[in-house]
Amino acid sequence: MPLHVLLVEDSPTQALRIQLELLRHDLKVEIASTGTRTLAAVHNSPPAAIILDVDLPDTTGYTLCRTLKSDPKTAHIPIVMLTHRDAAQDALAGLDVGAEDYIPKDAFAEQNLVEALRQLGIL
Amino acid sequence: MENALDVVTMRQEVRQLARDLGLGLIPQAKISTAVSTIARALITAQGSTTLSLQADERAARPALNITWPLSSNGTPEHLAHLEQVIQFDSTRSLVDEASLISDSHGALLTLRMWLNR
Repeated sequence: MPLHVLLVEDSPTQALRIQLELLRHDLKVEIASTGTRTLAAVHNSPPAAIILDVDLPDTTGYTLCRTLKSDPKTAHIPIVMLTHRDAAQDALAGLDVGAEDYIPKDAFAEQNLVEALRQLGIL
Repeated sequence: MENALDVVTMRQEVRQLARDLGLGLIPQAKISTAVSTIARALITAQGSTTLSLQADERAARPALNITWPLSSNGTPEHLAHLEQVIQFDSTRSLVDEASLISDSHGALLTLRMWLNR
């Protein structure tokens, strides 16, 4: 049975691109486009991992990551932040709230995401 | 490196080197982000930049060393300016050791990530 990951991304185009890449690796991908939908999805059906954008319509990925990592029911779920924000203070902020990885959305994003999931034991 | 594409390519090379040397995801993210932040700032400030990567696995404390020669007149004021340009406070927080030293001939930025963690 394929593992299921939750992709938190409010851009349909980017979500589709990432989803297609992960489907190639036999992962089941659920997509949430807001923080509210993310929290509902995580509690309804805890994923093996969460891929988390930073810029969301109703919150930030930093706040969402902090919330998930401070909840005993969801703290164990690995979170990989995937974002256009690639400055030093952005990465520090993401890792400080408990993300297991911080990946810039550049030409190598999908490759790095797959490798991160592999190192986390998801793939 | 001379442009954004060079920065992205170098960031990826540093990330992969860190992974090949056995560093985990968080150190990979940290060192690659530090390199890209500094590189981008230096390209903006001076048009291009060059760095050296060296994995010293045989040292008493094995490390990934990144060294960056920078132009400097050696004055404390210029050193302070360089620190501001490369966002040294933020970038040094991403690595295990960072130093920026200068004399009348120039400056040398060194970033270090321990390999045996």
